[in-house]
Amino acid sequence: MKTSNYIFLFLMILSFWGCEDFFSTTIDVDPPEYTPQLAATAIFNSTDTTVQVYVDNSKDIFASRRFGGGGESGLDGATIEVVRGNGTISTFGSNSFEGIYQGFLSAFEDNEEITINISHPDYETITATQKVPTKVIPTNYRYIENAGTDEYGYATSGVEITFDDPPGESNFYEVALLFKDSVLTDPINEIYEYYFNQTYNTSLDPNASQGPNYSDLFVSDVGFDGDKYKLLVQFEDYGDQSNSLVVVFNSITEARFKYAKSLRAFSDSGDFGPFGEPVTIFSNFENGLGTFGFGNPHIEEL
Amino acid sequence: MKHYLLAMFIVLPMLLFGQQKFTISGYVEDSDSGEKLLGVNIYDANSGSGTVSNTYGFYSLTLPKDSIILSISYVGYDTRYYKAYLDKDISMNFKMGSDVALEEVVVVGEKFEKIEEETRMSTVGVPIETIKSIPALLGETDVLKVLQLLPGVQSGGEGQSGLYVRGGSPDQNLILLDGVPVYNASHLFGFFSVFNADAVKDVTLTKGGFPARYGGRLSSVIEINMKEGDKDDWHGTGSIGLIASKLTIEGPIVKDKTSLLLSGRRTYIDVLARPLIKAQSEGQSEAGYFFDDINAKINHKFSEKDRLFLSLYTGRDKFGLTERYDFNGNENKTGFGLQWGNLTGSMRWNHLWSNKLFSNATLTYSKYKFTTSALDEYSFDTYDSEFSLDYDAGIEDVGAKIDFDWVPNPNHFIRFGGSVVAHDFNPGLFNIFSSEKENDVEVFKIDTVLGQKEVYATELAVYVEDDMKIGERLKANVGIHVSGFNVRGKNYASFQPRIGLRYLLDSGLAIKASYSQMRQYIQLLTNEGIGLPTDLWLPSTDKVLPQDSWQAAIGVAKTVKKDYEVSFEAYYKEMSNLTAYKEGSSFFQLGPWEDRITQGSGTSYGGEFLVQKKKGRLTGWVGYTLSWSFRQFPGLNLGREFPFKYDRRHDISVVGTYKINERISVAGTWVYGTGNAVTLANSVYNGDYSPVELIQQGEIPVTAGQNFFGPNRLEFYNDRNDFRMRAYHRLDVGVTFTKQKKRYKRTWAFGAYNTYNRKNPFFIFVGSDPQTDKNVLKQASLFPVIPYFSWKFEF
Repeated sequence: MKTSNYIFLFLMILSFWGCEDFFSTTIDVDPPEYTPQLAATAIFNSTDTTVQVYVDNSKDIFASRRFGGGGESGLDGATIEVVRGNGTISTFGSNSFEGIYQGFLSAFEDNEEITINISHPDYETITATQKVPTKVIPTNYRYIENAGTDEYGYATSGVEITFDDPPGESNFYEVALLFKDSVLTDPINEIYEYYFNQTYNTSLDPNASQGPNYSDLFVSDVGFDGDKYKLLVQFEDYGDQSNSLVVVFNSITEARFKYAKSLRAFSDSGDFGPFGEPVTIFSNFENGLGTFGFGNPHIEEL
Repeated sequence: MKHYLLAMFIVLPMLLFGQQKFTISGYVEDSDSGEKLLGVNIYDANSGSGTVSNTYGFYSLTLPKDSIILSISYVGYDTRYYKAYLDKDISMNFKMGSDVALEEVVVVGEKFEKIEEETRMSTVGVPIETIKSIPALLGETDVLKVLQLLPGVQSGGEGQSGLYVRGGSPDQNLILLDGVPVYNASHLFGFFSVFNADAVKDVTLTKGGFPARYGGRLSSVIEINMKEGDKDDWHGTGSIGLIASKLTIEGPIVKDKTSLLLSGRRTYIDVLARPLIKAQSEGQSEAGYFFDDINAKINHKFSEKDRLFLSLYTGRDKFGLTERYDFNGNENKTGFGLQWGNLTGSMRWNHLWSNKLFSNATLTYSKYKFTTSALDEYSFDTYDSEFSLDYDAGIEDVGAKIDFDWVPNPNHFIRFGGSVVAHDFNPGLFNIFSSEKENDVEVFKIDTVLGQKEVYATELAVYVEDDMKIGERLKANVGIHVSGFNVRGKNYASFQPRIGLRYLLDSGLAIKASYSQMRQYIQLLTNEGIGLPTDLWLPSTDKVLPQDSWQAAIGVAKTVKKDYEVSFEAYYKEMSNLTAYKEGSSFFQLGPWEDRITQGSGTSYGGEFLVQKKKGRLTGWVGYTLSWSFRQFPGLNLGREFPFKYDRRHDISVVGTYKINERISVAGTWVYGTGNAVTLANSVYNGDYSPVELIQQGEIPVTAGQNFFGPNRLEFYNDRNDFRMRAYHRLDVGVTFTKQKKRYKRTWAFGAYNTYNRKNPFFIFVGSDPQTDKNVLKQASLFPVIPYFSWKFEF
């Protein structure tokens, strides 16, 4: 066979391509399978006078291109049942508005086991259980006017909180500093209405990190289990001495800690677009999505 | 009694005399080029003892005083025979000539003794002729992409040269060029490897059953040896291809004493594209990209006992973009540049201490550097401003090592040695300069350096191993590798036992098993995909623990009908302290690198099947891998185990070359692989977490519960890496036409990559369908069918 014949044969082979559109570089592929589920956020504190639960249903990510950007309505028509450790059952659901459900419950006890069941006619009922964590009360607070700089180099003030971490167990804390302010609502009777301003809290402590709202700090005792620990919480002090500082030291469940951490990581990942590492949002609801978390706060006005 | 004493005086010397042993030793080399040959069989038919030559072609065989009939065999070469009466130590060098009569095309594995004879498993040698014969993307022969065609080795993505060996990541491969680690083995963002095939002599991949002499990485050792240079005649090869041209010359500086090899390669994408870009932008923009490599080696023989090798490699990728605008007196110049590359060098001294003891002392230097720069200059009337940003990162090593080969008798081949490496890690430094001038008077200036401090570390290792023969059927390679690492005052140490066994059955079937522990003190901070030059090599520290692994493998091997080597291996590997980016972080993120990573464990297991045909017109191999690979990190995927991104259940490769006649040969490869695993959300929902809300209740503040101001859109996926992209498969074909001209030999090569134009996945993304107003999942492909040609000459 002559060389030219081999070349011809080779070109013939090459001409057989074209099973798919030659010039197209993208093709549609089948999306992953999806099952609609209830998704709820229920973050309770033992001292809450009212509790709110946000209920939504998971939606097909490919259902509509208009879905996205947040702020969509949640799911109404669900029934929320809170089963207390003492056997009492509270049910609420009729007052929901765009997925937000509000209930009125009496104070919770340390170590009380609480189960929340959320049902909806169109979805499988979801369930989660939490045990009210033991309240840890700090033993000392020390205000520091010049607490150094934060990670961005800004001058901060701070509060050093000393507490005894219970040994032999995993403990988690959510810590926030708020300024207490007031406004005179009734000058005749000198009645003031108090309100609380959140601060931008930060810490260089390796065991503490900011949560999803960039104010509260979340602390795990992995690095200091059972120790007397001093946590320095820093904040930008604008010097309004008329305000008093309130410290919320909240002993929280692991579920609440993990949920907050994963929400923050999800938010950070979004900042890097497609180059952000994917984040698994924590969920502890059986048969569904979302988180039921609990806290047992100690509040101290300095 | 007298008789007994008399008998004793007569018999004892005879016994002693009969046990007297002598050694025959020397070098084996190619008769044409003088290149030393590794793995040549030297076998004495009378005693049934044998050995193989080492990396430098040295062999040593100790035998009883007797007549010997040595056969010196090496596939692709004529078998040589040597007869002598061994009554003293003999130094004998053998020159091997090409076995023209067999018309063999050298293929994988051939450089070693018969597969059932050797103790080592999970090791494949790939001769450079094989690599050159396989069709390649744009015709650019690629050493690492050929290794991807072997069982147990996977590519990362379409066109990438990164290697994923038995569930490991690319930074777990120790790539040695003439004994020097190469830290970034890719050009053009991973599409080509840095190794110029024309300068390479041989390539060996070890993916398990690591002998004790290897250390420092968990998953594989890839040894690439450069040619030494012809000691007798000057030769040259060169080629002109679609994107690059190459030229290699080699020859004697002092005949039979000193030889030189010099090889260069450069792409010309920039040369072709620059005029087009300039014309398109009406002269205002210039852009270009190229990569180049230079390999050089000098080999000098001082005496039969002393040889010196100097080798050097340098390669770089360079990208630049500049734009100039001049409008109504406003002059603006902006520029951006990227450059990265390796510089490696080694000086090796081979010394023959005796006919049983051989040593190789090496000084090594390796540097990888990545730099990027940005420039912005502006001037208008009396105002001038200038801003520049330079960033550089990398790693620099200086090392020394010594290796001894000691062959006390035919039943033992002992290797021992040690090494020390001083690492200098540069995690990234920014040089920032900014200035503004009015009437040439400086009104503002910043000139500062930001970034993370360099980290210095020292790595030490010693090893000893014995390749021993225990009876006729059992062989063992037993050794220990001990390593230490010092960084920032923190010390790590590791004892790594290694063992390999081979038992030969009557049927000629060899059963092999191995166990090895490995430790790795440095890791690559990288995204799991494209081999970006921004990837950073970083050390273990007090916060980041060294990576460890153990691997066990068992297998069988046999040569069938002389031409076919058949092997099957099953392996299980566990890895700990693996590193990965934390959830939510990114390689674009600033801040301390140690805060961005998390550590966890990995498991991989599977089976590898390989059939190779070595001789005849048709040569090639069929490989199949069935494997599983998982990761588990406390900080990822809620602590649940998840598939490794490159967990590939099925991987098939078929490689064949058919020599139609002396002038024409055709070659083809077909590969199939299960799609890569990716993390993909399948649904969305809203969720929220509000900060602490307080209300005043009487005299005290109390919590007010959550306030859902604007819930966030959250994405849900079942598990990390639980979605599979489409399967990958591809057929490459090529044909070469070779003709001997008067002064030179020329070869035309034609071929096509991805011949049937399979739309293989490169990445997937969520797009939109304008018809339905819905999101749709789309897959982007990179390479359609790509024809190539090249013209090659040899003189």
